[in-house]
Amino acid sequence: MSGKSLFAKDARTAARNRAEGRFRAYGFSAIVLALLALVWLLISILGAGAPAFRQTFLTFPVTLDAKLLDKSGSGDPAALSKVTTTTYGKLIAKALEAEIAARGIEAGEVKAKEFAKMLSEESSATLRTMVLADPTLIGQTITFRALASGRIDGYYKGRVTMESAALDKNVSPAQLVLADRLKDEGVLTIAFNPGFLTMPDASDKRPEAAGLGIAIVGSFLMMAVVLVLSLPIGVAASVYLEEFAPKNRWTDLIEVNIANLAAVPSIVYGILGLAIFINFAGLPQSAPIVGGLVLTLMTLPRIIIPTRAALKAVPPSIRDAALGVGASKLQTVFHHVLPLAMPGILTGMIIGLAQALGETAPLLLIGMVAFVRDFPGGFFDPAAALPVQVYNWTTRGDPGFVERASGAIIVLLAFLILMNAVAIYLRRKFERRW
Amino acid sequence: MTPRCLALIAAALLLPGAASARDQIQIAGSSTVLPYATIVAEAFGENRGFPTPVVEGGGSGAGRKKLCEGQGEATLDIANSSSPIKPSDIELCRANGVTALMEVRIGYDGIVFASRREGPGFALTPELIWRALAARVPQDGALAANRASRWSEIDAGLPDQPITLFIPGTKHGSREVFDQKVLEVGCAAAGAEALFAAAATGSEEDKAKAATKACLELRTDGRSVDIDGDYAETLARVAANPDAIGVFGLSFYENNADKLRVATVEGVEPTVETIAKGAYPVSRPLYFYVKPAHFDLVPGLRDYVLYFLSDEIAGPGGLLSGYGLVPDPALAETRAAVDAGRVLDMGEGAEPSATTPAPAASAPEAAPPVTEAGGRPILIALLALAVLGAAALVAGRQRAAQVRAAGTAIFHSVPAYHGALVLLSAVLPGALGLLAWGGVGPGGSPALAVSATLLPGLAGGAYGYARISPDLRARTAVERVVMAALIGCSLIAVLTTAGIFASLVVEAGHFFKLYPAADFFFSTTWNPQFRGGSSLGIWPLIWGTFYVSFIALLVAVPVGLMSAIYLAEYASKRTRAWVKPAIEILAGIPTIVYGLFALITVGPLLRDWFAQPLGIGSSSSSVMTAGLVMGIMVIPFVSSLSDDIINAVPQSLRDGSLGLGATPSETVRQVVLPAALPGIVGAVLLAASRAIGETMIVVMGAGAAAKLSLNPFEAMTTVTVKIVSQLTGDTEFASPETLVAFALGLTLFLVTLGLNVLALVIVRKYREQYE
Repeated sequence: MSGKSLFAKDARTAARNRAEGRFRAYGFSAIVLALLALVWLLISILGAGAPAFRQTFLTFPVTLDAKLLDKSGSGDPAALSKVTTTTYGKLIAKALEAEIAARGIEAGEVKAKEFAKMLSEESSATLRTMVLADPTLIGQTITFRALASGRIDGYYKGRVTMESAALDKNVSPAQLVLADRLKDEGVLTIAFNPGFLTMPDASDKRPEAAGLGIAIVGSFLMMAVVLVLSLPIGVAASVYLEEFAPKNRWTDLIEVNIANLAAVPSIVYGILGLAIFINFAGLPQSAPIVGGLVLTLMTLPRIIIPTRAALKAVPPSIRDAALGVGASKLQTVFHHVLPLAMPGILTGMIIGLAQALGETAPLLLIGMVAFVRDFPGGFFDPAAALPVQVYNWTTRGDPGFVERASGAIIVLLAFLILMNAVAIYLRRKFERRW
Repeated sequence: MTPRCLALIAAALLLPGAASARDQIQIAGSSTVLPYATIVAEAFGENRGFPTPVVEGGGSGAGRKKLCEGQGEATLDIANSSSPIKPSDIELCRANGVTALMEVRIGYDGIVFASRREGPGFALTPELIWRALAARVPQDGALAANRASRWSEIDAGLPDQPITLFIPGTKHGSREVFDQKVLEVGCAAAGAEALFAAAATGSEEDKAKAATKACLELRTDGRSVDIDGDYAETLARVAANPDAIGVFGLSFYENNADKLRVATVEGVEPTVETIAKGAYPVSRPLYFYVKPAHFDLVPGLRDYVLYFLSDEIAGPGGLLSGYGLVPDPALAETRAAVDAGRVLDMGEGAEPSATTPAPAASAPEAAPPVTEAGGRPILIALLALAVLGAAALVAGRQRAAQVRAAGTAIFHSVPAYHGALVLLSAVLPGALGLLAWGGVGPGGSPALAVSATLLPGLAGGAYGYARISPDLRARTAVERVVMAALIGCSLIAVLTTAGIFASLVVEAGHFFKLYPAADFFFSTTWNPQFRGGSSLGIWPLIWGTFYVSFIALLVAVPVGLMSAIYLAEYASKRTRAWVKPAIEILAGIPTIVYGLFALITVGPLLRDWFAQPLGIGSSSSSVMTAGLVMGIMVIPFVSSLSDDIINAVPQSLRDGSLGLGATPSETVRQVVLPAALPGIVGAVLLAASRAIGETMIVVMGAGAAAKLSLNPFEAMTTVTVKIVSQLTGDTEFASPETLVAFALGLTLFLVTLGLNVLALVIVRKYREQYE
């Protein structure tokens, strides 16, 4: 060792420095790995779900023949509603046939009878609803935009190919060729589909018509229940534990309890909900009130923890000052400490709500998976929920539903980002450093 | 705030009676019938001017159980079922006052065998299938273990390729049909039933039973694979395995005919027509059960039943045959029977005449009065209470203000507190009155509910009003009530735990009465059966759970810990400010998103790039898939907590180490980490508890096959998956097969509770050390 300059690195130092570099690189790559996983997750979901927002439509004129739709000619709504979707379906089929003939499109091997199979079964229901809402349309010729069938739609999204269509019972390659010709003529278009966000779920025969309308409303109703119940209860419990509870065994028990409940698997809350709210109390299945109650129980501990932190962050001097001018303990808390802690509490609340919004497992057990077509009028009416709708669609037979499940995830994530953005904004805007 | 909290608690307690009037038909039950029922419900809602019925899955058994829970608005109208109603269901129905049920057969479901489109076609018979799957087959007049590994060994006419059959798992209704129509028939045709019977001992009956049981015994060397998931999973497995044959429902096959080649059975190709004619042997009838008593209770119910049975829906060429339902040749008779109001013979105690004369009069009186306990009386009472409260508040406040304005004495409390006290003294007795009314049984008219609420309320209010005086310590009294409310709210946490514990213990107790606890805790086979005799050993599930969690931790601990170290020790403040929240996003993403990610991205990727090329698996759902995705999910649980803990290590320790000449990494490894170790262990334990309790990722990514295997590319299952599938499967509700879910839930709860408590204790102790 002697005679060497201190600045010349010996082998050992060099090795140690290399080890240092390696260690640092491990740490850095761990972070890169974690972030890459996040990006991969998001890209894969966005990529799979984006097509759900666009849908294939066929636009053509339909003559609403009074002879078929209003035989009596009275325009009596009761008589009009006797006409079923089958009749409307025939009307649409004829109109499409006429349109193809009028434009001189070569239909190839597709028989005239099979034209209508390229349309969604939903379209006749859409037209019927339209006419019932406005009976004056009868006798007129209107431009009607019909959903294409799931297979035709899948063709333009790469799910269906000529080869697969040759083996498929629901679509033929000739129909796909015809679809391409219709597209060239501008009859078939691919456009943004607002129905994905507003329409109810649809049966297995019409994946193209399935929408998130009821799931969004249902999730919203559940969140309302969670907010209304867990904000006051959570704040009250936190105030007691943070400000008033004596330091004894009981308080300790409650605190350990809350910490535990925050980590209990969510499925256990589902079992609790099934046993207590459904089997014991006899509340209706699939109702937002039950989902909301279960999620409230699950969210409460997750709200109490940040709320207590927010209360703790209010400096004791505020309390001392209030007590000093003669306020009672409760007045001190409710008039001074709580308002100051409110931004923190709200932030915690929103984040808790966001967690509740994305929760699926407990809802599976209390029957929020029902097929519902009518929008719920209140908390006791059957409804669906966003995350459960995703799960539900992944279990369906038609491949078109997988795309819709990913699309639903995008909607769910959009809501979560919005809620978290509000939380961050609140935190930034009202955060106080003491 | 506090009165509101109280009112909400009261409301939550009162909710049981608050079911509102219903105009939608409620349907639940078999998941096989579910798609047909939704198609009909949709068309019914569009055309008949009634609301669209609400259709739920949940399994045949659960549906029938709910149907039999009683009569009235709060109960189910129709239960879909893929098997005929069981005597135990009828017993339950009778016990709950459901004395009339109509059995409606809607058609048949074909069970088909299909392989990959690209492969050769198969011509099967029940005997060939049984010979391929059975554990023991007859050989030269004696029974020997089944060693056939290629189809050509069983029959020279079959393709020369390895035997792999994906058959429905035992929770499926279609397995029952498979057992009866394929295995038992095939076993008899092979002449093995007689051999099995001869080998058994006991009476003739015992022998026959033993023979049937032996016929259904399948080989366990991996040639026969139970699929506990849905047909979509079978399809994915078949698509990935060139040799495999899968079992599907006819409608599922018809919707995926572009990917599958169907096998003939007894020379007949399954189509809607061949099954309707009875030429194709493997099919089962599908039913729904409806309460005629509800025809007058729920608008459109009778119309729905008849609409379902109309030719345009369930008939040949109708809406449902387009989706693969095989029409029932006797559809017209079923329709006529419903029209005539014919009900099921429910044995003794049922209505004496099986046929009620006119459909309209089928059961008008049967609707019990209890159902009138709608939400309205309670809502009106609550509204009255709110009005009373508001009035009390205003009156009390004004009187206090008047007395004070008179200026005779010094007041102890400001008028607002006097108002609040009057409010409390009116509302609390009122709420108690309402509770008492609810406890007695929420019968009777709104007037009764309102008077039960208002009388004590008014009395209390008047007393409170009269008490107002300068000396009254209104604030102290109000604060005492508020404090009680605060304590009450914080006790909800304890109540929740108690509720969880009680509900789990009670139902698990029912389970252990039906099934020996020793078998549950120590058996290594999980094999629920329809006809009883299930093995419900928890070990395969525990193994799957821990295997998945282990892989998750293998991913999450190194990545999470190294990120935490980098963020705490190396990263600049700016990097930290955006990297830490970015990693925490992973914790905020709902688990259903991870589930879908596993299902559509990670699973197929692992299968196509690792498992298949290496020849170690053909399933996209596997322990590896679920473990990897779950690992990504728990990274932030490890990293955030570890980061906090590393930051809590006093700077002086680092300074000391660096001052002695250690490099930063040596400081971290030799000083900081040992100091932070207990806390990090706590963080890892919390992450483990989180992984063990996770549900959606494993439901969608790990598969549903309960087995003990080391291969991470095989599908296995976990405790949480089985909780979901046993509670929503086709099994009967009061059977051990369903109740086992509660025992599983209890186990899960206790395990995670133990981990959490341990982690909390460690973290707490550690924090105290440096504070």
